[in-house]
Amino acid sequence: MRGITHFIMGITVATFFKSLVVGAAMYDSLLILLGGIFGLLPDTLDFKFLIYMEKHDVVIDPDPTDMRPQEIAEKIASEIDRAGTLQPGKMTKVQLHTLKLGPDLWQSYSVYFNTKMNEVVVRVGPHVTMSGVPSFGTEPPADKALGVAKYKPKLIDRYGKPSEIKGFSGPSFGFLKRKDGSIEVVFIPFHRRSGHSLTLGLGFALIGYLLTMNWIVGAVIFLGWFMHIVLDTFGHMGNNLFWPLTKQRTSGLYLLTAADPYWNAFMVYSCIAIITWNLSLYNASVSPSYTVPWITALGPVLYLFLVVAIPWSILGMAYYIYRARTKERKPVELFAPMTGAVAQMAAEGMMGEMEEYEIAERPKPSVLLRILGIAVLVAIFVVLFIYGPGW
Amino acid sequence: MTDEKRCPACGKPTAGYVPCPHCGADPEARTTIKFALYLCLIVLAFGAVFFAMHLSTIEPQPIAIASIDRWLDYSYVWLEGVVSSGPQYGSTSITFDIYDGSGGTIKESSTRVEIYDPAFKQLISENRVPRVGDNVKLFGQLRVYLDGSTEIRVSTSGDLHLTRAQQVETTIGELRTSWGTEQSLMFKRVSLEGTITDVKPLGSAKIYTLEDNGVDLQMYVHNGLEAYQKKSLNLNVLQRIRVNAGVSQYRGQPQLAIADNDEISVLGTLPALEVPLENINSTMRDNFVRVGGKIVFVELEGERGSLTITNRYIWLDNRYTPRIWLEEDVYKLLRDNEKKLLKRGSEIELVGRVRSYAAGVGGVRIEFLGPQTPSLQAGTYEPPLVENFAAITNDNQGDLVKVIGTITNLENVPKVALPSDRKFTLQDNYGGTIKIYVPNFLFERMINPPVVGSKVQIIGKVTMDSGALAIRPGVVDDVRVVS
Amino acid sequence: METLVYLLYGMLGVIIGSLLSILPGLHPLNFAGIGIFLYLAFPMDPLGMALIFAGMLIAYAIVGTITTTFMGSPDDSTMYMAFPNQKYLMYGRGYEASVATGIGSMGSVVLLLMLAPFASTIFPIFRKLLTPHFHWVLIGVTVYILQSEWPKDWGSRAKTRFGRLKDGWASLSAGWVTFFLAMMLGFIVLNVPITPIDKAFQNIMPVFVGFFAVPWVLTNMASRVNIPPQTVSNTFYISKKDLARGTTSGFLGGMFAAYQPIVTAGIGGVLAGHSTSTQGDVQFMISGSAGRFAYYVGAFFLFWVPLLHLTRGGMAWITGVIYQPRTDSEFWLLMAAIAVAAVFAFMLLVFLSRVVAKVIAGFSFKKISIAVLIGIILLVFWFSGLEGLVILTIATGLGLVPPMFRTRRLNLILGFFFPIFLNMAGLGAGISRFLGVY
Repeated sequence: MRGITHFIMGITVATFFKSLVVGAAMYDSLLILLGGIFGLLPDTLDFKFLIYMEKHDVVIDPDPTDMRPQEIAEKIASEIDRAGTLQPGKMTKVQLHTLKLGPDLWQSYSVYFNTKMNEVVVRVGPHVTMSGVPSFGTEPPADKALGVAKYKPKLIDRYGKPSEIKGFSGPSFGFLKRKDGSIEVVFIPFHRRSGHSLTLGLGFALIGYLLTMNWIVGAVIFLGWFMHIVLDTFGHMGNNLFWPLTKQRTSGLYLLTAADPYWNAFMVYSCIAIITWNLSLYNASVSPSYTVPWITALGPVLYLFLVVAIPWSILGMAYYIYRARTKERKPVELFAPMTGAVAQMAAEGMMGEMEEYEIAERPKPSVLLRILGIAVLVAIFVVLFIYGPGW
Repeated sequence: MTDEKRCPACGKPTAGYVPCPHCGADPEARTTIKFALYLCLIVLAFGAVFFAMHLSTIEPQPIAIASIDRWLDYSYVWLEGVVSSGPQYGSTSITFDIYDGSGGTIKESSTRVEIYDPAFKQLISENRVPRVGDNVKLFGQLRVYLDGSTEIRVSTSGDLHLTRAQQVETTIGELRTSWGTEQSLMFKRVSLEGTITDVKPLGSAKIYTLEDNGVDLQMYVHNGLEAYQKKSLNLNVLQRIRVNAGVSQYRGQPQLAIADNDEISVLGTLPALEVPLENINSTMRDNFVRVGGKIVFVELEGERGSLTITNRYIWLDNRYTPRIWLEEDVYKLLRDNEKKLLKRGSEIELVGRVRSYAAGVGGVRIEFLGPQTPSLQAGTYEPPLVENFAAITNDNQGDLVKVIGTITNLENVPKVALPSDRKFTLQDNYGGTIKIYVPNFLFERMINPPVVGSKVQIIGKVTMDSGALAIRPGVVDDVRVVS
Repeated sequence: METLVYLLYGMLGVIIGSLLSILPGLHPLNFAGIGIFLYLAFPMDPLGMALIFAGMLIAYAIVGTITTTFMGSPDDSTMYMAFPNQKYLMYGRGYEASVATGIGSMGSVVLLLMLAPFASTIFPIFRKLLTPHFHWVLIGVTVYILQSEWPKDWGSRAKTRFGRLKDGWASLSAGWVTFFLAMMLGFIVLNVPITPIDKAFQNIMPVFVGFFAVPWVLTNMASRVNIPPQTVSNTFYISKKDLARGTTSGFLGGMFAAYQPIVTAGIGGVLAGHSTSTQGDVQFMISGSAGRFAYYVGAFFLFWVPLLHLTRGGMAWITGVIYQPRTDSEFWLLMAAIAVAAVFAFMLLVFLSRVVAKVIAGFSFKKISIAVLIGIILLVFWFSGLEGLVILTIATGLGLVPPMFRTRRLNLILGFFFPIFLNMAGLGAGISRFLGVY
């Protein structure tokens, strides 16, 4: 999910703790924010620290003025071959760089693993904006557009689609040797591993507890972190839940798409609705003037049904019908000029939010497991709704 | 080149390419300006609906006072209600309370109204100052304090719409009776008669007691009123007055609230009994009497737990006549020259009320009640000088004496959290001694207090202290350092 | 029906506001000062004057985008629009950009009008619940903005892990430094009366102009770009989806900023944009203009909501001196006036954009930028004196840090107002004392 969704979800679970809400209202406490900070921290760790800690065996950094797709394909294919010689459980890693041409202009290319033909296919594309809008007339000549290289081992790539390399920073691939001798393609291997493990979350919670000797601080840290992992698991790509005991990412539950605007907006809205409920309930201990009695009188189930379920069901239906009837069209963006303030602003990348990296790299889990995922989320909230007022 | 092959966005030739190779525009996915026009029409339709709503809601809608909540702090609202107390006149504002019956209790249904200068002066000049019983509809800024109290501040006189109340003719007895049942006269305007029998001065107001046929009623006159009135109130005890005022309530009891001096008219003055002082006894209890005599001693009494003086006893003529009891707050109502003359030696004539008092002479005391102007004439009096202290015996208890001697010892009598009382040992020329007991509220008021070795003159009453005879001065002036 | 004349007051406000908002660098803070000047110079019916003020704000939100599109001197609320709008200008589509932003504003007008009947029910709920919690909400917003910024190394080529970490953190640490320096400036400017007393309420104007407008103009001055011929087209590239998403996102962000003290439209825009995943030039244009309208006019609207009576924004403060909305009726009158004035302002925008688009072609951006810079300096001097120019210079220095180090400009505004957030959390006085500005 997007950063703001994780942040506000962390805040939401923190507001279930009555002592934190009352403390914030009466003594200007800021402990509630721990939920938000640790809710966002897994992504902060991944993209501000762990991304730089990864050791790459091969770095693909082509010259944008002289693109050689065949060379790129061969380098990747040879890494796949080399992975075949490794011990099971070991991995080789390839970093592919983006190629910046101007403030908001990038040379695009794509990498596709054709597992049927045992080929790495590299295609050079046109110049694009950071969000991938192509520039007319910048496509390469046919002889410089395609590179194909053979590899030997059996390759497993569940994603099965070309990976586009355009704006932001480029992806990395891991080629993991499995016990059966096949090689599995691991997309951005640093992501959703140690930084998204429950064990690390527990570690942070323990540190928080030891520093304050207040179990609520530890609980808020862990819950903020935990909800991040849960929400991410709801998408297509899972997490390495018990690093360092486990080595690989699990599959996502395929309940939603992490980058989908509808689900992110729904989550943010639902969190605001729950925070509203909690504030109304707990503010009563500060002053009756800071509560909305009718909200509390509804009870949590009816409240959430009226305030969240009904409006979002209607919106969801409208969204579904709209998507079914309308051909999805990418928003148009123009290239920024090469000079001037607009150019500089494009270089800042201030406009958008960090891209959500997620691919469907493993098969869909069973329905039972997916239902279990929802049950965990519901159980967490039921516990919080029941016991939060006593904490 | 035809127009069809030009980009509608940048105007350059597209050669049929989609999107435009120059500006990226997609000529096939365009919205026309008509769309903006439709938006404008929607907005104008909303505007028309809102204008109709504006026309249909011109009459302001007051909110219920009981619904005022903390979040409404600083909001501007309309309130409507009946004036339930006040007005209280300040130097820059007037305040009063209004009640709208919206809550379960009077407190929940009431709020304070404050009107600032120049609005309140304009209200005075227009004779539109709200009075208890009047109906007001007003607009102002709410303040809602942490303790739950509320206030609305009105800044212009036009924001106050006033409907004067009708007056009801009644008596104090009827009012009291109705108060005990349905409280039908609460926050109504009444006209009634009564006799002034007392005044209790507060920091900001005077509370008069009116009596009629043995039933009493308080009348609240705010001190600030005087500054804005053409006619000054000159009320005296035993005056029979007619009052046209609103009935407010204070601590569950009815109280007349005066908004203007014109609301009080004096009908006459009832006579007090003319009885010689020595003939006054407990059978005359509760009667008003006119008494006079020479002040032989003034004795202050302090409040337990502080240095505040609460009242004073005035001894007239001798120690055997009933004493005059004067509450300090009433004393403060006297003019300065009257206060100066209210001392030992002066001749006084006053109206008082006979009250039973077990410790009083003859079981009674005469309470000096305000408001009144006692007749006072300057004079002197000193009790007989006792040169040899050995002449003061137990038989002299209660006598007034004058003694002169040298302080040989000073003893502190501790008081919890207060300065000590002082006990001097006074020695006469014959070597005899007697204790002088000076309570802390007197000693602390002495500008030049005596010390060991001082020669002093003491006037006081002979009393017993811890089993020994002592002389207790009545006022600060009773202790005089001679050298 | 005689109150129909009040709608004309709103339109008069639009004309005054349009004339003023063409001046680059002028901020609604200045509008408030000019508003008081107008009232003192031409005493009139306070309700009429309040509606003139409303019209001025509407003009600033709608017609004011002409300056952003064609001249480029953004404030924090127009940064997000300035980027796509000026890109469009460079492709000869300045008029289209200008009208597209206007359509975004009109979308926001529709949402505001739809909200009006429910306003006195919805806003008190948030007022009740949030009153004791403003401090952590504001600090939480700051924490999120700082924590969610991502590195701008675009794939570091450094060989070592530390080298890559250093590359990645170059822009992030610049962001933190920007925040910190802006906070220092905030502690000083918000605590020490630097500008003359009679101009004290204009204290913040040179800071805003220095943070956003001047760096933008200076950067444009360094470019050698001529504005290409502009096309005036009657069709626009706006889909219903762009309009719905952009308007909703902008409106939510703008109203959040309008409601929450100190939060500005730029901050609200980022939060709402992240929540609704705004993407693409058109959505940014629309959400930017919708947010700007919701922020400025929405804040004024909150002042009129019966019972709520929230005083947010300079114009509402100034209006409060001369006028207090009295009845539900006056609230509905305001809403009617907003509707009429917004349509009038939109039409003015379309007309003036056509005129400017025709006139501006071939102008050198450098020359326009020099003229704009001179205008900005004169305005700052006029409103806040020499002291204001000193603040402007310092703020410009800080404003140049984000474009130089590719970090978020939003950190400037967050840092500047952070002392107020700290005050709300009971921490500000201690830090001010430590800095010697208390």
